[in-house]
Amino acid sequence: MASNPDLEKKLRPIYDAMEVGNYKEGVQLCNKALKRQPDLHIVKALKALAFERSGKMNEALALCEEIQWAKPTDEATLRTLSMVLRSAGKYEPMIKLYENASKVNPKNENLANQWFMSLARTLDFKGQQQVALQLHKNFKRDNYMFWAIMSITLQGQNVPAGQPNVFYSLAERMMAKQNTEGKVQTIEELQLYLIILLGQKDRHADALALLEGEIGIKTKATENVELRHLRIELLIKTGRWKDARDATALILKENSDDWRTILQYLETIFLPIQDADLKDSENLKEARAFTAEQVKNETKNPKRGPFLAQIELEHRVQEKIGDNKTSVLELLVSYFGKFGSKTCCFEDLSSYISKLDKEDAKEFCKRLRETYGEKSDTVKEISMQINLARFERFIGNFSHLNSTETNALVNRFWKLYEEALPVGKDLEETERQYGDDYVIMAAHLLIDLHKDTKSYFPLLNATFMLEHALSASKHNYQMKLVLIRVYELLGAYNCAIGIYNTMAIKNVQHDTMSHFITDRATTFGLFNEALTLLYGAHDIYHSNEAETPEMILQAYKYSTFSKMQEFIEFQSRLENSLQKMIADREMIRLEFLKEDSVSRAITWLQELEIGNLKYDDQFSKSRIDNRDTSVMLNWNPKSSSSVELLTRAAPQPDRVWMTLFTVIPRILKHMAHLTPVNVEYEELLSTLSTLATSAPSSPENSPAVNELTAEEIRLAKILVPVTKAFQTLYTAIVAQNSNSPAKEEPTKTAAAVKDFLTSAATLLKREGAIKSTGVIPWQTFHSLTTTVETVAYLNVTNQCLLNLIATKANKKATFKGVNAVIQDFMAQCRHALQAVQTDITALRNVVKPDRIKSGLLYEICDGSAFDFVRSPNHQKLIEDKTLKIGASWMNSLVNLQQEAIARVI
Amino acid sequence: MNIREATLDDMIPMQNCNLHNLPENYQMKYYFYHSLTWPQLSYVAEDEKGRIIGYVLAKLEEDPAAEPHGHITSLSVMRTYRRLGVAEKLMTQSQNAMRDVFNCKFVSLHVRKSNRAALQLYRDTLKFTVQDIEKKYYADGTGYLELWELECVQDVKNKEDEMQ
Repeated sequence: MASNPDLEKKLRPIYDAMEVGNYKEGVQLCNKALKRQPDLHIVKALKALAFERSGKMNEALALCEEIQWAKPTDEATLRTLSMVLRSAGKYEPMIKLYENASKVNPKNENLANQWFMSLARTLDFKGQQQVALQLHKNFKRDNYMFWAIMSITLQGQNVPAGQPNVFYSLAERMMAKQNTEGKVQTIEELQLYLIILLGQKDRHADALALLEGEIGIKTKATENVELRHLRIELLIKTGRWKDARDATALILKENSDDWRTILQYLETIFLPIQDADLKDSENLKEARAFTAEQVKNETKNPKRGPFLAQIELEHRVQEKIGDNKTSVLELLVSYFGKFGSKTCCFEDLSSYISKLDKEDAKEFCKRLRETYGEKSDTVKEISMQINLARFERFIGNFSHLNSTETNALVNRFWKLYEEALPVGKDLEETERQYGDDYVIMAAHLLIDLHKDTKSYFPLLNATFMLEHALSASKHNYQMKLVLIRVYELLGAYNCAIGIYNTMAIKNVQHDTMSHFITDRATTFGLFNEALTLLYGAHDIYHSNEAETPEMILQAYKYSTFSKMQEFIEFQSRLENSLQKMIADREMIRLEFLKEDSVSRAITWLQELEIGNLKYDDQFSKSRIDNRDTSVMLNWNPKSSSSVELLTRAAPQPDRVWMTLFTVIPRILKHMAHLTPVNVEYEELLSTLSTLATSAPSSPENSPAVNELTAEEIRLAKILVPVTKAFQTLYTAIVAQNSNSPAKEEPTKTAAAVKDFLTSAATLLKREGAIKSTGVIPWQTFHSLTTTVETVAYLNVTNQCLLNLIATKANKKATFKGVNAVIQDFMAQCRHALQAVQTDITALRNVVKPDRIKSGLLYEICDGSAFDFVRSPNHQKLIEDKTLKIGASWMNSLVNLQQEAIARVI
Repeated sequence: MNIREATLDDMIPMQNCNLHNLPENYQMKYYFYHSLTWPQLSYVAEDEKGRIIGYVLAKLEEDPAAEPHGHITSLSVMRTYRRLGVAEKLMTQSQNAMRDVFNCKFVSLHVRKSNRAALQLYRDTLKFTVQDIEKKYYADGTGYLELWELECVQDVKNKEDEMQ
């Protein structure tokens, strides 16, 4: 608020209107005030803010530009301006404005502070350093010196490893001086000092000296969990084995569960001696005695730490010198005896089990089965039985089963699940039923069966069981994830979306989890639904842009130096997220497909911004993959693929996929503008050609050898000759126009274009109609949608070829032959769409509700091998869900058919 | 299991730890704010493979009128790792820091009355006492959920008590 009382009186009503969100009135009041005083910057800035808040960004930015020219220096105007520009993601202008204001008012500390902060928003470390030093000089506060040191350190982090780092040396000298003057006082300042030392080679001893020295004591550094851990790390690195061992032992006596300290303890045992001397060493004796003692101390409610420490110790001995298999196996068996009823037991032991010999692994499970039998009456027994089943699955007991064996096992797990239900009848709605994992394991077995037999019936049965179990455990996201994947394999996108929306995915999960629902979302022909999901998830990136820089500023304000790097890294992780780009390309596909007339599609392409449409190596490599693929439960043996991999409808999109769907819109945009063929066009064409010649993955390859599907490669293959046709025609027209001696005979041009378009047309023809087996899986939709998408692109390229002749050729009649060739090709495109329509019409007949009931549903239920399906209690659910799947197919087909019809030209 | 200070990078797995439905929907900046302002108070628990299995997000209550005290904003343990004392350890770690760094005398938290499991943990295991009960509203997308919420408090143990 301005300090001048007159002005304040003027501004008060404006602020009041804005505060209650009445931006329209805000604008009116500003206009009124500006009529009397047209140059009142603060009022202009407030008007800009009112525009921005009411979504009129262009008007807001135009006003901002006006104000910028006038170089205002009052804080209120600058603050308001900064708010508007920030929400538009424009940070640069404020740097200049604050610099100017600060130079005009050198005594104003706040303005200088804002100047520093405006640089920090753009991560301009060098600029920060200079301003921080100036702040320190003018205002003499110690924290400004630390800002300067931090800014120098951050510059040092950008120096490639291995090169001399002048920034760290400088930062260290400045820090040492602060320290001598007694100005390093807080734990955060100490942390900054440590960052500088440890950022340099071989400075462990110095860092340790600091931690153990005066400041370490003054700031109670070793009471801080992290610094205590760091100290031990440094003791190990500097070879002070005894000190390190004593320190870890002390911690472990207090908290025997502290795993990272257990690992440090073991380092002090193993690192100082050669493997050859290990067997009879004092160290090993000491470690065995220590862990045994720790185990002995665990009596009532034992902690897992000491027992895991023993396993880890003996496991390492086995890895290093062998001859220790029996002790490891015995420890594993006895661990299960103690903790077998804890749900985490599988996680605790699986990495050790995976390293056992096959026979030992079998022996492990056999012994557990002998000891614990099948008893599962109590919560603990159920949990133990589930752990046992997980291990049996994990060592391969349930692999390579035939249908009969799988069906029997699925029935067994379903029975166990149902028997566990009464035990959990009083559980709260937010909890899970105790036997839920049986259902998930049954689903895993059915997924195996689907993979082996290619039949979709196992997947349908899996959805029924999961849906049924979900009604007793509403929030079991593990069931939901399997369901989403299975519905996608079944081509039932509406069903997958329905489940996804109940997961309440939020914040950063949009970056890590949304791939489950947005990967190749175009496939299902439900463009609006797909776009809603994609835009919803994309918000996280906007909030990252807007919010994270402010947090970095806060870190300076609070002098939280230890968090500075974390914030900068976090910002970069989201900013450079691979998922963000993959989603962006998917949105471009969908937005393009929403323009169903060729002329609108061309306009859309002309308006498409290509700033973000990068695909070069450096850009691809610097994408960061934050997608979470490990979240799905998986007990599959190490030798087979994970459930997450097995349930992918197609290879996971990655950089290659991103490149394909970057190159396509860029080529189309080039054509839409009728831009002359240039180096950039050649590069796009060459990239597309490389992608077109890559070998497709078959669903059997896992992991996939190529992240593109056969359909996507075909799309690239079709677009290559079309891209070349544009090039040939453009060159011919230019030569004709200039009457150059190199000009071709028009018939030759027509023949060349014809060759290109004919090879595209050949690829466009799909072999045979799509046959329906009652289920319309992902693959069928993928094939249909890709054809529609391909023709949508070809409609544009054909129109561009025609436009080329119509607007660029001096004598249009010369290219009559080419014109005819293009018309021919357009007819081929129509045929391709007609084939799609015929297929869709046939499929629509199969998925009508009455046909589903008499067809698919009958097949599912008639003589089913599954007790679940045979039970009269489940008939209603099975019918409901089958009809829902059918409705989703119908929805996709109807939409896709409309899209196809709209593109027949 | 490890208990260590939460870092920004943990936010991603921390959120996945929270995949089950909760009416509370903290914005990213709320996590940021905690991590920045009181980095010593928020901790994560990791399993032996370094995966996040639980976390506590805590802050200093900035009420100048009251005694210095801490507030537990969010405590979460992954289902697979329940009943192993993870929550208790996270709380102890955070409370120790409240005491040592900020000189807190007590710690408070809010819990929904309907959340029996949480209530049991706080009241029976961690010895919190119910101080107050009030009606709270949460936006859940379709409208507002009306919930009774309890305010629970517990004195922060001083060092001597802890030794015994």
